[in-house]
Amino acid sequence: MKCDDIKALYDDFKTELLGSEELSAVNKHIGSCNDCNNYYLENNKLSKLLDNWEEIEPQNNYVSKFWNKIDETELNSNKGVLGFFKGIKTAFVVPSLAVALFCSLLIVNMYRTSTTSPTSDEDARDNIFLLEINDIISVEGYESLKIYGLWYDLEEEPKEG
Amino acid sequence: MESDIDLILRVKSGDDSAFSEILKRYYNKILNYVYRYTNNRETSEDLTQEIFMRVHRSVKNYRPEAKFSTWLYKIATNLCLTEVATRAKKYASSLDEVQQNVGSLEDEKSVDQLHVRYRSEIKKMIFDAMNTLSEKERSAIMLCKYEQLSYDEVAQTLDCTVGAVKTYVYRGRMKLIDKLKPYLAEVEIDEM
Repeated sequence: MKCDDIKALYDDFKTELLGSEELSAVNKHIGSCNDCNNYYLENNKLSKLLDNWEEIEPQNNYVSKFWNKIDETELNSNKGVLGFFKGIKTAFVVPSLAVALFCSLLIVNMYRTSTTSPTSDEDARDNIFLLEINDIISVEGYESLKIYGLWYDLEEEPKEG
Repeated sequence: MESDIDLILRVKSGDDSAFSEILKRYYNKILNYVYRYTNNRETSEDLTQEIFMRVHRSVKNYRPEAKFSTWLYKIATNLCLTEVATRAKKYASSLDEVQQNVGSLEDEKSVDQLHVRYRSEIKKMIFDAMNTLSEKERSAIMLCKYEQLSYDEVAQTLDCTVGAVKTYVYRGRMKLIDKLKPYLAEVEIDEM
């Protein structure tokens, strides 16, 4: 094997992943090659030096602190107008929208009925006819309507027999 | 012990206790991984909390094609690389941290002060030497050396090929040897 091949095997050598043949080839090579021997030596020293970077311990309450942060984030995301809409349950959205739509249509329809004038000639004729009847009733007055039996005076109640 | 995948499935179904288990399993590892980017305890705690909040938010997107730990380290690496530079400025410098650590150790335990100072100095030198590496070299070395990830897992974490990881590790190691030469001379090794 060449020097580059031997250097490329350093990690496997270090982690004891080399097969017996490769291991003996590496050992034989670094025993006779100063450059590769130096490379392996310096890498071993570096690895040992890097072990000096000691670990730190987490705070005792890191789990509860995490859940508190989650609660805090959810609380903040539910504030404001967007939060209000986010908070509405999906199950209520469709019926609410349906009721709102129905009410809107009803109001629009009532408004249109109250403001629109007759649209056809027939409607116009009906209107005139109704106004004429109204005038006739006013002219005939109370007396003329007595024949229908509904507009009699209380004093002139028909006697029995 | 319940597998990571099983825990994640429980988390997906709304079981918060499963996520607490994930925290217990990985918090310390991620904290120390982040700490090696920042060399500041407070920043590391904040970033680690942020990493797990991101994991919690996006756990529904996790597909068990990759190992959970690889996915977790990927999120951690991305966050560290993008935020450490800006966030580190808000906190005390790494030198302050080293001095704080020395102080607390000296107060709490009666250990050899010179030894503690030496170790703190070494730690600072390693941190500074790591800072001279490229992002990929630094991450590759940290993941291989300290997190014991395989080349394949590191490749998945860094979104590159195994060959590229080997190159990053090799180049990074050469740079570290060069930067830390004075300290390497003092290191004693038993046998190769």
